[in-house]
Formats: sequence, structure tokens, C-alpha cells
Amino acid sequence: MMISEQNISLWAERYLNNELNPSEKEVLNNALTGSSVLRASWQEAISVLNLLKQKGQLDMMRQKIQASAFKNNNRIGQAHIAAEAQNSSSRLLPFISGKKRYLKMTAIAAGLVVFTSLGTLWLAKSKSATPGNQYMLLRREIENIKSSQSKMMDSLNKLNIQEPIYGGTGFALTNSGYIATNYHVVKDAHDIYVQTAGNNTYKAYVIAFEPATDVAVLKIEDSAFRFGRTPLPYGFAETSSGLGQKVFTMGYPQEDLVYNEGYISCEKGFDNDSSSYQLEMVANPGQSGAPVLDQRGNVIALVTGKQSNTSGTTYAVHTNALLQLINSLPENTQKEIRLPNGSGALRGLSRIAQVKNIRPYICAVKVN
Amino acid sequence: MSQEFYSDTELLTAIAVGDSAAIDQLYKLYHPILIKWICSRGGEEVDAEDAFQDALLVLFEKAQDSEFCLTCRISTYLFAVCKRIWLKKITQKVPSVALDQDEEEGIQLKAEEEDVQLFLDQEAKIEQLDVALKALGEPCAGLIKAFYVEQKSMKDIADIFHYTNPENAKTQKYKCLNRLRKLFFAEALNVRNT
Repeated sequence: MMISEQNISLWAERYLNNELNPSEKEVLNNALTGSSVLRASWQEAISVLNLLKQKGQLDMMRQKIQASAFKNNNRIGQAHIAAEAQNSSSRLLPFISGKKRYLKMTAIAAGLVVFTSLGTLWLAKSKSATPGNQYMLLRREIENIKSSQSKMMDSLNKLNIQEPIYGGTGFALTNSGYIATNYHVVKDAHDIYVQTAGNNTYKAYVIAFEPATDVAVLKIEDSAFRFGRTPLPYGFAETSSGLGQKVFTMGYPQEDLVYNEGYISCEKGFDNDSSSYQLEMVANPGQSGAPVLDQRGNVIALVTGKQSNTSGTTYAVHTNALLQLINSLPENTQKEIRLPNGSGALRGLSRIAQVKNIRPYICAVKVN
Repeated sequence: MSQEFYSDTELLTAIAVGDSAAIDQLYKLYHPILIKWICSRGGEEVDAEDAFQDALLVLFEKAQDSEFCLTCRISTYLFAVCKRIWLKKITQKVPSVALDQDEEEGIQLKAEEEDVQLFLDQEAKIEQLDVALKALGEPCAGLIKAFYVEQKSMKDIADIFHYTNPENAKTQKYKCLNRLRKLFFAEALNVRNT
């Protein structure tokens, strides 16, 4: 292949990746010594490629530092999380939104003082709530660590995992490891692990969160990670679903995936909350963050909590809250989380077939 | 709790590969002190946070350099770099403010001055690259970032950007790269001329 101004980038990249064989190197050498114009372009191409590589590494590192800031509950550092700081010049702008987010969080936290470190959490919601009418978050304490640990350790000996304390459910937003779950599942998390249907465990970190609607977006650290080889089977509903809509969900209240179904019993959630649904559907601790799907296989909501004094009343926040959170992210990240409108892969299938398709995209979220 | 690291050497090795636990540890150990130090000198908390995160980035880049040898403890190095970055940026922002150089610092570490300068130069170049990327427009900029910055595979990129196959995406990528190179160096020329 002739070396020219047009393909100099290609050659430069192959050179940097050590992909040139000796005869190609010679061709290159001759071409470069023969033309000073080409030599200048060559230098330029090499510097641009190196700079892009450095940018990639620094961006990766920034994300991790910001994840640390998040864990250490540092408000300023945290503010950068949403910003993700793809480029440093944009770093100051998102600070404002970050700060706002923080304020909201403290407000919520003040309301949630009844949170204890003991797993199943009860939250007496403000004045209007009568004692019997309580809202219960559905993250679970992982007690059966002993039985599951050996199993886990087998798949994990590389990861040096700490014993998880809380568990919830998450589901894929993209094949590449963006995951939706509840904010309360990852709140105060030190380490976050995601266990996939294939029983592999991966480390994840928080990309964005919104305490007011209790949604969070995680990302699996391993950039090579993929949920599956096909596009996500489900879509995301942008409009509200009506009363009586039949729904189903899958989550991890235990080590194995559990299926439940029910219907929308009220278009408003707990305490008249118009951003969530009330469902007549059994849900147990650990199912927080599980997707609620309609019959066509669109995700319409995320399970968040249930009423404490009944067994079947569950609350789930609209998918819209999740979409809003994603829309508040920097453009670059948004582009990565381009949500599918639904490939239609689930339409008309029997429930068993639908579940089988969705299963690989649901994961357990474990935090400590 | 996260695993404890036993030595600076282990910490350095872990930082070089971007190990999250190591970053956590550095953050936990040194973040409060450094922020406090900067704020006690009248610095803004936001600038302090930026300086601290930048200092971690400097350490990260140095840790990857196989020839890099610490002549002091990581903490000392990190402190020196963080303070230096903050001082540089604050004097850029408010040139009239003359800040006292740290008394003991001058003699202690000369090497970190150079590291910081390299980092800031690189940062400026990357900002210039961002400008060029913006001028490049979509889908080219997205395509380039997806491959080089986010390190996605050509197959995924073909899917995201709706190319019929990875080979097409690749051809497109090189075309974009060529345009980026020209924009970047035209931009560099601009910067020099103004």
C-alpha cells in the first residue's frame, strides 16, 4: 500500500500498535525520508494519536477519582461525578447542578433518619403517614453470606470482594455495562458489585443518582464487559401506563432470580406521589431496582418499596425518572446510554420466552 | 473496609493500573488534609478539590512511567504536587495575588515542579484537542472518542453509529482522524499567533 497524506493516520496507528512487519517498516522509512511534507504529517499524526490515548487514560482515571469522592461522601468531589469531566474546560459548569443534587440529598437524608444499618429499612414518611401506613424500601440484608460465599468466592477469587451487606437488583441500560437501580441501594456504598445471571461478579461505580426519585445509574468498571451479544430485548416506556395494566418483574430477593407478576392498582404511588405507581404485586427485600415490565416487554417502572402492612402492595417509580436522570448527564455519556426504543424482540412471545430473553440483562447489585 | 496497602511501592503499582481501592485509599488518607491546607490559605474549596484531583492524575501518570522513582513518600509527593498545582492555577486566575512560597518546600522537591509543568502543558494540549474535536463535529468526534478515549471495539462503534459493518466504520475513522489532525494543528497555529 502506498503511503500518502490520506492514509498517514492509518500507518501511524499501526506503527504505534507495533503492527508493521519489517518490509512495511522499510516502505515507511523510505517514504518518510523521501518527503518532508509527509514527514511533517507523520509527526502530527503520531502526536494526535498519543494525545488521544492520554486523554482516554486521564478520563478513565478522573471517573475513578470521582467515584472515590462519591464514596467518601465529599460534596464538591461528588459534584464532578455527574460532570464526568470529559474535558476539563467543562468541569466548572456541572458543578452547579452537582451542588443542587447534594442539597436535595441532605434534605432527603434528614427525612430518612430512621435508616439504620440493619438491612430492611423502615421509613415513616412525614406527617401524613399513619403508623400502620409505612413505606418500606426493598433492599435486603445479605444474611446467608456463609452459604453463598463459597460459591461467590469461586467466581471471585480475582476480585478480592468484601462481604456484601446490602443487596438490590439492577438491569441493563446498555449492553456495555450501564445499569439502572435504586439510589437507596447504592447510597453510602463503599464498594459496589454486580452479579450477572451467569454468576460472574464485576465491580461497578455510580455514574449518577437522584435521591428525590430514588434512581441511580451504575457502570461496570471492566470496559470489555457485555451483558449479551444482542441488543437489549426490552424498550423503555416514555408515556405513563394506565390503571389495570398487567405487569411483571424479576429481581434478586435471594441468590436466584425470582419472577412476580401483578397489575397497576393505582396511578399514584405512596402518599399520592405522582412520579410512581402503586402495584398489586408481591415484592420482597432485594427487589429494589428491579424493572417492572408491561406485557409487550417495555420497562415502565423500577421497584422501589412496598407498603409495610400488606404483602402485595408495591411501589415503583416511573421509567421517566430514569430518563430524566440520564438526560441530565453530559452529552458524551448520554450518547453512550442511547436507550433502545425496544427491538420488539419480546412482542407476542409467551411469558416464559420473554423471561428467558430478559434474564441475562437483570443482575444482583451488592454493596458494602 | 477496603483492603489496606502495605507499602508505597504496592500503592504505586496499583495506582499505575487505575486500581479503585488504591485511589480510594489515597483519597481517604490525604483528601481532608490537603483541602484543609488550601482552605486555610484562603483557597476556595472548589479549587482545592480540582487541585487534589489533578494531583492524583499526576501521580497516576508518573506511576505508569517505568523510570519514575519516588525519592520521598507518596504522601509527601502528593502534597507537594497538589500545593504546586493550586498555587499555579490560583496565580493564573488572580495574577495580582502574590502568594508566599512554602518555606520548606523550596529545598525539598525540585522534581515535582517539572512533573506539574508537564501535566499542565498536557492539560492545555488536551483542551486544544477538545476544541478541535468540537470543530470536527458529529459523527466524526463521537466516532473518534468512542474508539480512542472510551476504547470501544470497532464492532460496537459500527452498531452505535449505524455503519453497515466494522470495516466501513474503520475507514470513516481514519478519514475523521485525518481531519482532526489538520484542525488540531491549525488550532495550534492560531493559539500561537494570538
